[in-house]
Amino acid sequence: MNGRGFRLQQIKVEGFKGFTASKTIPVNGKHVFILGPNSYGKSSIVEGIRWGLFGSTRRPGEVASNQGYAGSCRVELLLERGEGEWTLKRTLIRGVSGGSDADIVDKFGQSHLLREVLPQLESAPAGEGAHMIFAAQSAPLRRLAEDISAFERTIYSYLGLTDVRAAIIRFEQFMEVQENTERELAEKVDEERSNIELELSRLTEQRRRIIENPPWGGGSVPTQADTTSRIEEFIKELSAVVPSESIPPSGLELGFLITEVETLFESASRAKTSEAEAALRETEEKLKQGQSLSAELSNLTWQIEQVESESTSTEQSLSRALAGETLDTLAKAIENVEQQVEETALLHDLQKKARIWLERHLQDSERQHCPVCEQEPQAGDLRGNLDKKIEQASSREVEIIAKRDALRNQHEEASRQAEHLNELHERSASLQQEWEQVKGRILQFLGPDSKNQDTSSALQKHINELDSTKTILEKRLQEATELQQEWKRRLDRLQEEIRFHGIQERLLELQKQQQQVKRVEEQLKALTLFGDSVRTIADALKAALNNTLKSDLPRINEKLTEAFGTLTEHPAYNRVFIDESSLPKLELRVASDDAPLPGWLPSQVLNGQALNALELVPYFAFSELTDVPFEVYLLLLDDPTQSFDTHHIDVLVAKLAELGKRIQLVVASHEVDHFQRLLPEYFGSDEYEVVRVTGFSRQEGPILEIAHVGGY
Amino acid sequence: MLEDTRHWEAGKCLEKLKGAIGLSELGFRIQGLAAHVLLRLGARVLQINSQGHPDIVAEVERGLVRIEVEAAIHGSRARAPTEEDLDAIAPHSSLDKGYFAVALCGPYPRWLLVEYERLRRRHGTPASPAILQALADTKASEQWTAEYITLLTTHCQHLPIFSFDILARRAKEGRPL
Repeated sequence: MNGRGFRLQQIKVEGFKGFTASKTIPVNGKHVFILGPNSYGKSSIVEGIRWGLFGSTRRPGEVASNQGYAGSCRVELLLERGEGEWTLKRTLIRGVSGGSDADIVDKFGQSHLLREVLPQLESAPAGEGAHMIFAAQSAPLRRLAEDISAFERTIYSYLGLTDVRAAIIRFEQFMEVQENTERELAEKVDEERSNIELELSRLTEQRRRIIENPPWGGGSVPTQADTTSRIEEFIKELSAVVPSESIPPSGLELGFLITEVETLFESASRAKTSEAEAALRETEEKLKQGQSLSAELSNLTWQIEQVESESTSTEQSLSRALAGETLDTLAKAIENVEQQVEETALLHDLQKKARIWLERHLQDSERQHCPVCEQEPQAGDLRGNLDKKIEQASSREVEIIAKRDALRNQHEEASRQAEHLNELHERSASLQQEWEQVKGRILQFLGPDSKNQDTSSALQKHINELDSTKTILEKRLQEATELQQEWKRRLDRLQEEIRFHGIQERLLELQKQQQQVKRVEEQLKALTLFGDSVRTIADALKAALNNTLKSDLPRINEKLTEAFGTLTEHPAYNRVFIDESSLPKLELRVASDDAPLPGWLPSQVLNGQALNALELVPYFAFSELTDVPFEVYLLLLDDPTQSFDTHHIDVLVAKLAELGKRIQLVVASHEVDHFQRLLPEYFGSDEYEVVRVTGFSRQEGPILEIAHVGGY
Repeated sequence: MLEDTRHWEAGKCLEKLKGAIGLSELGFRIQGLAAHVLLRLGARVLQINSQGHPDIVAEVERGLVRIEVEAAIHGSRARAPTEEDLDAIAPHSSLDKGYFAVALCGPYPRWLLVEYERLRRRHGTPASPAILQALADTKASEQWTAEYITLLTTHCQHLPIFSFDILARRAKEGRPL
């Protein structure tokens, strides 16, 4: 056997999969055949070796440790390649899913980094390499039978193209990184450039608008010094109306200066207008008061005049009503007349009674003696006299009543006029009193100097003076407001000017940023140019590799066909070849002599046994192509005889024996009887160890029986 | 440096043109304007195809330049010429050139002219404007951009009336705008 690869000397497993306490399986550099029924833990041994080497389990995320075992989970592999033993120790890191620590120790007990001792193994994914094969049972990681990409290393090694392929892979990896870097950098450049251009465009627009209506009033664009000078001039003007401590010191930066000017402007504006506003307010108040008093006085005067006029008129009416009498004489006259009315009424009444009596007691023809005078009047005469008297009395009564009524009316009218006149006098007195009060208030309003003046005139004069003062103050306030507005306009213009400078500065900054982006763009340009060069080289290498592969494929296909034929003796498909159209991807096709091309996908046309055999074909075919494609010189086969009939098991063991001349084999199989029969036939007794798995318990794990066949 | 706003003004002109004619028409107009950029650069425009490939064929010195034009209106979207585009601009002789000409229609419009060979090597990988710029022929792109800015600013007011047909006809007749 070739001694350049490591050979497995011993396996020590603890807490891995079905294993519990540490168990040691001596191998002594020989082939190992692990035989026993299914589910007894054969695969745990094969898996343990693989985990020890690669540190991952068959199924991603699969728990490597025995969950029912409290101890650690670890595998120790004793390796040897003619320079002393190395111990590869792998321990599961608890709590980290799938993570493990690996350490490799030399014969002196010195620890080394795994990548230093086994660089290929360190970089290889579990399953790669011509001499690593895993269980046909481990379906989740199985490649399709036609996919032989795991044998790339072997094929390229055989064709002397290992470095080319490695270079292409590295170029491809590099290009992936390169393209990602280009993309990331380009995204940033695009974003940055877009942001800059948008802001640049927005600010250019603003700048153009300012220049179209320049706050500096025309001429060339001012410098910051020009603006500073203008601000300082403005400050001087404002300083004239504000206390000196409010004036900002010189040498301030524009932004700060304008803020100070804004404050100063506020103070100056307040100072300029507030006094005028207060004076105006006061004058307006006084004017209002004076005008109110004036109106009050005028009103009272008018009312007094009205009352006086009405009094005169009423006096005349009274005089007319009395007609030279007085109310008392009129009252007495009324009294006399009323007495006369009573007397007349009484006489009238008597006469009427007498008439009635006369009618009752005297007939016309009768004569009666007067009971008083004893005269004997004539009835007719009496009646006539009496009627005449009654008539006279009645007229007299009417006359007296009329007189009485006239007197009564006159008295009533006179009384009313007198009463009204009285009221007017009272009203006049009240108004006079009010007038005096208002006059007092006016005098108070006008001040002590006005005592000897005519109140109304003095008041009017004062009002006129106040009105004039108000006009003056209004004008002054107007002037102050106009000045304030002018200041505000100047301030606004200065602020706009400063904004302009801000825009200018930002535009310059953005232009600098653009320059920076341009520098990055140049770097990106260099990067893409370099990437293109690498891509060109990689493309040329790929083309060269494909051409070489195509020219060498017939030899490889011959080996594949031979191995497939030996293993399967398939009646319909007797040719196996690598599909040229998929290169550099390695994919198998099967065909027959009568229909050689384009071939079929094996998974579509082969039965289970042939497919399983096909999976083994590359190992047999390519193992002859190169001596040591991998630093661990080991073929792990977990149950390779699935679906195989007795004849094909025989063929397989024969082929394994051939392979075993170059490679250390670790083979697990449930075909105990077949293997026990065939192994002595094809292998020398000192070439292999048989590990019998005779049982399994949860406490002890797989129960192993190691049958030492012979020394190696 | 701040006083030169021609590039920005060209952007405003293009924006106005876009507003006047709409996005669907803009691509054709830019193709037509590309032909006039070529005229200004001394080329003889032989073909302008509103449909089919390539978009423009022109004679420059002793060779032919074949151009596929694309107007990039929507920011930083990655774009890639199709196989057809690439085939159409493939040089037929050592004197020929082929360009994938992308007009970036942002506030500062510019042209990026990427040579056929650079694109072919990238196997159709989509490229954002920054990548295209990195791949572009700097000198040609700058020349095109300069002439384009002049075209846009000089004819800013009248751009909307220059239809694709007018632009194409005048370009083929060798009558610059």
